[in-house]
Amino acid sequence: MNMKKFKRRLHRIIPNGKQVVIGIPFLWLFLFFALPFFIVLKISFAEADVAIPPYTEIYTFVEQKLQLVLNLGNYAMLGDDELYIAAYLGSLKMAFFSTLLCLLIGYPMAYAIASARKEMQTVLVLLIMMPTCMLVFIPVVGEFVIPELLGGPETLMIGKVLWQEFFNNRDWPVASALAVVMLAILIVPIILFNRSQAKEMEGKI
Amino acid sequence: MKRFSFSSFMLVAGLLFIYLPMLILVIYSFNESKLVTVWGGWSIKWYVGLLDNTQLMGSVMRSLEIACYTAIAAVALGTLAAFVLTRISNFKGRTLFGGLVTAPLVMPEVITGLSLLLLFVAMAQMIGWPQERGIVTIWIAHTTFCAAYVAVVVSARLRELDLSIEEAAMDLGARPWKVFFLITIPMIAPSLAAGGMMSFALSLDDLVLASFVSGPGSTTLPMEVFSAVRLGVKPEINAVASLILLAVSLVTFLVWFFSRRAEEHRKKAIQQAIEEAAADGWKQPDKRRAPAPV
Repeated sequence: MNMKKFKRRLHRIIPNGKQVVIGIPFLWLFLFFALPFFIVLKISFAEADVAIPPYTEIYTFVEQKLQLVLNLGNYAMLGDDELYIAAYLGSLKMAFFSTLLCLLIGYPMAYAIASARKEMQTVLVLLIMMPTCMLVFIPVVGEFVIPELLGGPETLMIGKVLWQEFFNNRDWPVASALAVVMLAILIVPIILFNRSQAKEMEGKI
Repeated sequence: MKRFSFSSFMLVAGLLFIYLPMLILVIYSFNESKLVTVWGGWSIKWYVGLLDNTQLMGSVMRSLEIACYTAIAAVALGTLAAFVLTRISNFKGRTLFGGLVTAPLVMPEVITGLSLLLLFVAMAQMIGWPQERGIVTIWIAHTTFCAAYVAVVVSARLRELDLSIEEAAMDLGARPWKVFFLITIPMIAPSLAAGGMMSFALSLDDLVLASFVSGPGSTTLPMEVFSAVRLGVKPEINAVASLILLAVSLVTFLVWFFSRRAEEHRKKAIQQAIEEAAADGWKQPDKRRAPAPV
């Protein structure tokens, strides 16, 4: 009797198969994808400091007083400085034109593949898919990294500014603020894409 | 007729656009001259020189190692996520889950890289792990974004599957885990392989994420190539790139060859089954489907 009770209690604590299956990817994505953004958000409100890590805490707890100091200076600076606005605009322009070019080149190619013979189709698709995994090795890239398949072009120019802020200036708060603003600009297309993808993945349940 | 010739012209032009730079790269890897832009006759000395360049070879091995781990973990994680999204219809936070799974696809890498680095720094402060960034942190970063690709590929396949086969197995008394490993996994195996290869390639190729989350002494091949290219292209880099090109094309060719052979086998087996059924007189062969007499 006691054993049964114990077992029942154990069952309540130990997650069942379904929960494990949902839990593993959920936990991973939460820990390594969602949580980092909150940290970025937090640091974007901090102040740069000569310390390890190089920013101040945004909250302090001294003498039973919890103080939350939000430094909006980073965002104000982004609006003031021409460089950042120019970088954002440049990135958006680059993204727009590369998308246009991709469509211009890609669409006729896709059309040609679709109208080719069936055996040829797989070969052609392979031929086109293959290079995507080694673009970085083409030395023509020079200064710029060739962006990834999706969402990449936006990162190109503002990405470089972010990179410099972070590694060269060691100004983590400004870099975080840059990232937050970038995300805010991209959030609409991202949500739209996510919704369509999620719908497609869920299928007709 | 004219439209067709236009589209085939575009196809050739597009393929040239993609492959011409690679062709030039391979040709210049055999360049005798130390200067990349000057042709100095044929030579294979850069390939020989590669063997002595321990730094470059070390980064090649490191990249391959990370790519292997990433492929395995991303396939496992992505398959789980795809399974949850396609088979478990209602649980709390399902919309959030779907968003989390696909978001890495569209997230700019700089943001992902930055945020992961900040997470690792915060974690090192709070729980003392990771002490130093290296292969493990790069692996985590790569797995997170590759799993999204795998999830998309696998869920497409999972949705196509005939549910009645799994239901039949369950009717016969198989537990869900058994059904998954004995029925579902073999049926989605091709997409698992495709997802794994894609993750491998994505991981091998990634520069931005790796630069953010790597530490001293864990330079990956793209980082090595990138820093070398910034100082001016060296013929050795061309040689490495050519070797990787060769490896990738070989693997692609093998995959294509074997998948085609498997497909032919399958067709033959189906045809044989039809023929046998017809010969046994179990059932009158369907005239439309009956194979032509050889």
